[in-house]
Amino acid sequence: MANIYIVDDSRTSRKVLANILKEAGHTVCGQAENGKIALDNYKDCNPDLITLDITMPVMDGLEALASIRSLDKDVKILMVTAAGQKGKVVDAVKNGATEFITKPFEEEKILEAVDKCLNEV
Amino acid sequence: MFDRIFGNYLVETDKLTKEQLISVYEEQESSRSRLGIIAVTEQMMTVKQVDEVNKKQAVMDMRFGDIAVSSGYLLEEQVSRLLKLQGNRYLTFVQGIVDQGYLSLEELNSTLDSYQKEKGYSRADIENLKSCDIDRVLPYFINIKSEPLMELTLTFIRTVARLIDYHVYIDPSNKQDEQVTPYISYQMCDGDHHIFVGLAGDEASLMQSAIDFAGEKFIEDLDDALDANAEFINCVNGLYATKASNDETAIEIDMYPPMYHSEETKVVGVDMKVIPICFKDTKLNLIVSIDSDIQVK
Repeated sequence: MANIYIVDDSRTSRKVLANILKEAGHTVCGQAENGKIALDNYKDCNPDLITLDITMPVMDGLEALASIRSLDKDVKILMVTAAGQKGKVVDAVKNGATEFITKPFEEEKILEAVDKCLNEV
Repeated sequence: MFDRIFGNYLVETDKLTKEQLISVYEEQESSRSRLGIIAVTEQMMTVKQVDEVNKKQAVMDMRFGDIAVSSGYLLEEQVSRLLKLQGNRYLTFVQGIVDQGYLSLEELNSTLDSYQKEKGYSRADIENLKSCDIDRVLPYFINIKSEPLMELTLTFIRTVARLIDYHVYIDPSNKQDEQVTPYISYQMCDGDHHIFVGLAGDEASLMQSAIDFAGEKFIEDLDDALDANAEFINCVNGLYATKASNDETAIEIDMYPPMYHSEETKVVGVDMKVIPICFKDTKLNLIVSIDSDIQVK
């Protein structure tokens, strides 16, 4: 089971996602409401995986993704976002996202994507 | 959707009481229509023919459809169509009314004829409404000429039906330049279209929709409810933007972070559509606009 850091501006999304992950046996080691807070703090809990929304104030998920990836080649990053446009998916993959899933949340799909991320070499 | 709209019409015209309507909706949850009810509602058989087949079925080990075909009342393809309609919400609604003895099929069909005349609908219009297919029903209740705005509105209602309440229906919409609301969750988008989507209402309605969307344990107060409603709008706009970007026209939409206000707010703009959305005994106003300057004060 993994240490997971959740980044999403929606408090509801963070709560729902945290609940899904904890019930599956993972540890939610931290949360952030925008990309800047995530970038400044995620290292404190040494996560195996970061879930990252795209549409956020201050620093959006794509910018946060690029910044985190430039500092950390190993952490798995799962984009969990409502913004599923083709362009966003391409940008996310280009900037180093491990996986990409779209909202609204489907518990089974999230856990499947988390497992896929964690098992990726 | 039309089961709710017609149900309200039956109460407004004193054919049913509110309590009777509620009991029909409760029974509707667990039922599939009997083929005889569907055949009469779809005007494929008369009540007399259905009664005759039912009597034969009581003493024969045969299905309703098979007896109706062997009696010359239906063709095989008509039986297939009836079977496909068994889950139709309007038809389960009709069955509920008849089974509970509130109205006969003839009375219901006669009231539907009156509804049709009153609204100036054609037979084809009534068939569209009875389908309970959101895409076929919604255009009768919202006057939206813009195709992208209609598609956005349809996406919203379809998502409410899928994630919150599949019995969702709408009251007739208005075009307004100003809407004052106690509370609102909303999101703006830009790109090939400038979009505004807002959900406005009182505390009780916003709490209800938030609980239905996210789950009761995640909604502790009004702020949580507004956040959850904002996230719901975010999901809907995301679905719309994703589909639009994948379509042949490849429309690009960029979403801003959703927001909410927990005090009285005025939404001002030209050509805003305010659509009352009704679900689970509550009502919220969906405010939508495309390519129009909207201000939230």
